[in-house]
Amino acid sequence: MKETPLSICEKQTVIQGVKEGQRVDGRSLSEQRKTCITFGTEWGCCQVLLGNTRVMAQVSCSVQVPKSSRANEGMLFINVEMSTMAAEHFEAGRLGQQGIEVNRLVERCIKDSRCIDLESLCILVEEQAWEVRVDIHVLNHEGNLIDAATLAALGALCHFKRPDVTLDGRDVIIHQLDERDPVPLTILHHPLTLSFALFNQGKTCVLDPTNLEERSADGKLVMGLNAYRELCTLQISGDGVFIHKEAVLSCANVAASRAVQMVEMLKNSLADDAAERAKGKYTGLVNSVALETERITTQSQAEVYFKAPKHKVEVLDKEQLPITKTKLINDQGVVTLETSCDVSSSESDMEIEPLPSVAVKKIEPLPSVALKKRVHEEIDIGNDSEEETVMLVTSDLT
Amino acid sequence: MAEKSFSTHVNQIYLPGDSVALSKTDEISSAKIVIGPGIRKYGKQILVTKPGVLRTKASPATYWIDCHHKRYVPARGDDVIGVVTNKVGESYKVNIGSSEEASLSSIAFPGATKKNKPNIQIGDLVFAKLLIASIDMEPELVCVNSLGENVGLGVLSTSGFLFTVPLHHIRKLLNPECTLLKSLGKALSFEIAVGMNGKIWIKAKSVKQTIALARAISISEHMNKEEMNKLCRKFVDRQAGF
Repeated sequence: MKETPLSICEKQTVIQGVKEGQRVDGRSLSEQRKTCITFGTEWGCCQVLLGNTRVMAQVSCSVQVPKSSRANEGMLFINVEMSTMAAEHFEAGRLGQQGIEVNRLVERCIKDSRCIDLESLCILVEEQAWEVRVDIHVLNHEGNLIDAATLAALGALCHFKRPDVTLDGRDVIIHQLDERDPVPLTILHHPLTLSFALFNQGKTCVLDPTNLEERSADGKLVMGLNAYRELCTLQISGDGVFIHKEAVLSCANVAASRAVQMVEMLKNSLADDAAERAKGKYTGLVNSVALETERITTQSQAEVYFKAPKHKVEVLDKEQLPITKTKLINDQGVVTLETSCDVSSSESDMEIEPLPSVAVKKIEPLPSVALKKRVHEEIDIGNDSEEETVMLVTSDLT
Repeated sequence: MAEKSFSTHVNQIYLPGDSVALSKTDEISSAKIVIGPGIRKYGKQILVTKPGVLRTKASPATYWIDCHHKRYVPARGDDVIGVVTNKVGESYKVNIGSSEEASLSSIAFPGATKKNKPNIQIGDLVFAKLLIASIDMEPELVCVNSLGENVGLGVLSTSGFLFTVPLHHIRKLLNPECTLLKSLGKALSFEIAVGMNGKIWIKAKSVKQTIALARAISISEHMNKEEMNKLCRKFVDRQAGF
């Protein structure tokens, strides 16, 4: 299916808004969307939510014969999958221009920056070495796939553990996971990318662009950095886009400070995951569903009282939910189903009669949670405050 | 799953595959019953095909399932907003978010003749009514009524902003009981076109105001009346500079 076309008025509003320092989703020019990192039950499974962009990465490994040119090194393979589920114009099995760009940039950021110590993956020189494979699946595309994909790949690599290996003469013994504790990969530094959309002939750069901003922009600037402020990747793309030297430097400064925060966040998430695993009550990616910013139903629960819900709803305790560093839990962390979607059904007919006795098994009424008040996330509308820092002052550049 | 009668189980959650039966009163009265989206007659059974809440409307008794949707399925008579993607001979191709692009004849505008056609660029927005919406045919749009008169449809200005919301939110906004747009209008003057396909075009005096309004409308998706009123009060305060 074709991508929904971009109308002239959307593009104009985005461009004009950026000129005035105003973004369509209310962020400031150098503000990222809410980021959330969750890990699966398997080793090396990581899901990243960047606003509504959702990317999952899974690392796997196998024993292979190393390349003859690098006989004492293991191998790292990065693969990106973009299915129609993520966006209507993606085709399963075919990457397309955008997919190849994502794949290559993730490769450049992670593989070419040599953040994984490949020599430690060698088992027997010229004979056996581990091949580590990272499969990146784009689950939802709402802009800035590159940043989400690199963060997911890096998270998955940090989380991954390979089976332990011992040598008996020239015989290689690969130990089962329950036999010997698996070994994590040796990660030398944590590189990740930060993307900027370029507007106003390269004078204004916008961090973490949404899909609409990406499509309205003149071009894109992708920077790969690690927590030591070292630049690993730099790419500028777009049709005949200009960018000022000062703009690149200023972007690099913004990106470097963000990269430090992001790596910090990744390490915290990994530590939380390890702590939860140590306690043994681990739920995997289930938690990321509760973090979903979108909900299916509408009315506040105080008004709708279910005497007999048809389908029993699992209510998670507040304690069971992960308290992530990003504070993405919008509600009280309670997943519940509610009825009623429009205002037309007035509040008076909300009392539902109990089911007749013939109707299926005994159903318990929802616990008191149903009456808990929903607290809406405070969302600033029409932010009038002058706090947003315009990253690049145009007058300086001339 | 045990069979449920329609009328006693309005506002309950149903999942695909659940069956619903007519209640005694429904069967006795010979009045017609209309089953709408999400419910299907399958042999003698009436089955639910979408997960959602059972809704009803009186005279003629209509039942349907209300669920969360983003993808628009064209229905005759709906007012929709579309993006012009191509010009083919005498007609335009318009993307209205459905599986197939709709066509809009260049003479289906008020006052248009073969020689006097409206000036439409690719990428422009049109607010139009669906004349044909059949599963086997390309949807067709018009911007006039059956007498060829102007009924407020046509090309939308390029200085506004277009955004998309889920379909149930559109139904909520267009409900006569919903006061959100009126209350927002008290704070700021704006022009708005609400399409049944989930697209909203809005234009205020400045880009800043347009963006603020668009955000206020988007975040009201899961709000009830009271919460909407609260949002509006906050919005008015913001605009007044508090």
